Amino acid sequence: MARRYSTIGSQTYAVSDTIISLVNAGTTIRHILYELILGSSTTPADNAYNITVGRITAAGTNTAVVPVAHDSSSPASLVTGGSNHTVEPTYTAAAELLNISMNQQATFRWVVPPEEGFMSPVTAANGFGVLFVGASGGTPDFQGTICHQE
Amino acid sequence: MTRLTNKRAGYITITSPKEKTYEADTATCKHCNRAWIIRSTKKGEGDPGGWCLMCQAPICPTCAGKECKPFLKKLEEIEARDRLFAEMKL
Repeated sequence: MARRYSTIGSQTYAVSDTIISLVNAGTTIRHILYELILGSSTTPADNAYNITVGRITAAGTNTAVVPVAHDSSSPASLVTGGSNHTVEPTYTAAAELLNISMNQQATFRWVVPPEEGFMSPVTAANGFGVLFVGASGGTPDFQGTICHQE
Repeated sequence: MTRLTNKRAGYITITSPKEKTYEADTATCKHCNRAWIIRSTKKGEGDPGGWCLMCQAPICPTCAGKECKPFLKKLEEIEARDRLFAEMKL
């Protein structure tokens, strides 16, 4: 049976900075991203942000986050999560999977049945990243939760 | 908003203290794996995209009218290339 996991990450706004990422740790399994939740915990301000989901082909430098299994009896995930990136991952050009424009005070959620989610190849360090594209102003912290199946 | 009956559709919500909750139905393209908005609570937004008769599945407006190349096939090509590079130690 497919196994499902949640990964949580955060990032302070800067253009092209990644909030959260998921990459294959090995070459044994495809993972499917099927849910994304985004919001900001910073003091409310009226700014707009454009955020996108892209395909990663090389992981950058980040704080590793261990995906948490939805079923506590599931084994450890074969995917590595990343938060608070200091060196950006490499993204595939023109392969934007989802684009979101939202107010800092808003909460965004996208969910699909897992079989309809974004699929990664069975290639090491390949996966997905959620990153800022631009903003009208401010430098708030954004928090993201992504759920994947493998 | 009434949800699409298609159980395979995705769903977006944006809740904000200032505005009415935004809702949208999305579909995932079988050719490029991108998600796009089919329709939403925002007037005039959304694009039904196309339908691939080979895949019997929805495809995004960008892929509509182009040749059928399922995303799973593209993934297999990427994986085959990576295996080849690994064997060649590149």
